Amino acid sequence: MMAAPVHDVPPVRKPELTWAPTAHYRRLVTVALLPLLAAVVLGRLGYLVLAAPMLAALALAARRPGYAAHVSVRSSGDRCFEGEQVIIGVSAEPGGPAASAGVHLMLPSALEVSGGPGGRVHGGSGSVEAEWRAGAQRWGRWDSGRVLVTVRSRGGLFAGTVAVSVGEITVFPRPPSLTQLALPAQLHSRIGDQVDRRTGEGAEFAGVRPFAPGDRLRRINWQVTSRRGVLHVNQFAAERAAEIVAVIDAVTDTGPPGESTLDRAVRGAAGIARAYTRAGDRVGVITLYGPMRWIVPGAGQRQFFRIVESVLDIRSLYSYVSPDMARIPPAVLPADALVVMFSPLLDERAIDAAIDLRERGHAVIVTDVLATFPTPARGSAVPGLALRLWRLERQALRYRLESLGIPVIGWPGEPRASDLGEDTGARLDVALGRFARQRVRGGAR
Amino acid sequence: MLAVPVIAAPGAWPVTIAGAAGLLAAVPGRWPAAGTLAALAAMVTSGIGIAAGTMPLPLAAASGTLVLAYLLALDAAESGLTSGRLRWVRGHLQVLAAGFAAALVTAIAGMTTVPASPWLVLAGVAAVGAALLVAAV
Repeated sequence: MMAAPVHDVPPVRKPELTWAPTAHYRRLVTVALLPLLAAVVLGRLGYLVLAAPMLAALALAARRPGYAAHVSVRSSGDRCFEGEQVIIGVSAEPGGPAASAGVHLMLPSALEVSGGPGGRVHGGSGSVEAEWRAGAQRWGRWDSGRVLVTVRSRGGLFAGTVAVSVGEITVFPRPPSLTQLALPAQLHSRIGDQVDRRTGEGAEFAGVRPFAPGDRLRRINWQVTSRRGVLHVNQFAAERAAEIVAVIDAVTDTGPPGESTLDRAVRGAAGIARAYTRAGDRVGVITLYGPMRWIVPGAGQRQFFRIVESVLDIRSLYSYVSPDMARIPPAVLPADALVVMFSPLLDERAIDAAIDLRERGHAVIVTDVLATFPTPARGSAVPGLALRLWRLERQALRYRLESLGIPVIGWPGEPRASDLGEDTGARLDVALGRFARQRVRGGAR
Repeated sequence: MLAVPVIAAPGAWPVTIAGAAGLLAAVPGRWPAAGTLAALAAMVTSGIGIAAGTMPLPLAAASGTLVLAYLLALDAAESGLTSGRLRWVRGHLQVLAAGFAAALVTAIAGMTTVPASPWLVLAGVAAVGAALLVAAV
């Protein structure tokens, strides 16, 4: 986990401090008031002696200061991947005489201080500088947090505070590493790196056939020719680009933050996008959240970032509308594309969408991203039975989908409590690798 | 100093026990009001001593300054002061000295018998007006 160095010079801001009496001030007033009241009520001058030290301390620094602070906040970057670190640096200097100054970093739940002086830093009466390393825990667009600058006036009776925003940070989903690429039975006619079943101008040997006029002489297989007595040439498999469409089920989101079904679905789609674009294939994405959003399949690293940027705000999307697959333009979902759907299979709308895609002739793989299971209520008479029934229902659903020609793979398999937080991508790679050897067929059933 | 009224006046014992409990509760910093209660208990104990005549006013001045020192230390602990302790002590010695001086002046004024005079009242009012003017500027 590397963090980029902080090299840019940030602008120095001069925010006004909001001054308020400190707890010390209130304490001094409280302790001074008791003997003062006793002196007035009981008419004893002696009690004033007890109040005098506190009153003197209040009088020495009773004036409320009004100066500002010079604050500069810098960040090593405004975008990173999950698991990477961002360096946040702050320097603050009181604009007047001060007893002490301090800075406190407040981060959103998606960022966590992983290095530096902890949350709060105190300096002397002069400037205070601090630098934190914040680890990105969860994808999305986040407010990077706020730096609370606190200045205590000389005497400690007043504290001035101001919150300075660090800015916005974009955390991209951490794509799981996929090495075995599932492929559709039919490859796109564009030239690519995937070996097609059709013969063509590739590099992989596909067989021999009798010589025909127009064949290159360098392709003559002399061994076969001498054995059969007729000219034979080598045939090579065509190399074509695959078209993959990742479908993210954003209709339901369940599970702990950071490991919810939507978090994992987006990571899976990012893994698909990265692996296939690296292999020269074309990848698109469709987000189901009731209505649909999509990115037309494309190739290259730019397409990968286009896809991950398009899904960063889907946590906030919700609708009661059922997705209508007929609305998807053919350019978004080509006929020979392989559809990899990431879904917890909890909402009928998403299940119906998968079935609809299959019935339209697309090769569909469903990746079950549910990693949790329902917890029976306490005091339930038959908690184990309810859980078993739920599991049976899930099995029946998977069987129903597979009987319709939609293979369902588990990521990371059947839900188990110990599986939480174990998404390294290795299991997804293994599960999808099955379809690298045995290509997924679409077409009519 | 605080022990004087405690030994001499049995009426101060419950307050002293309450103050000691507050002091102990304030040490781990779990209950911030405990420190204030301990300081108030010390004030009440000293007040009992003054009322009982067992605590002379100069001793009360020292007692008040001790309470002020405790409140300053409590503030330093709460504000998380980790470095520059010596500088902090030097900075607050002036406050303590001013507090002790104010308490001593008050004690001396309390001990001095001054005959009633309209000029004295006028001087007091003028002093208050001057103090207000200085504070406003």
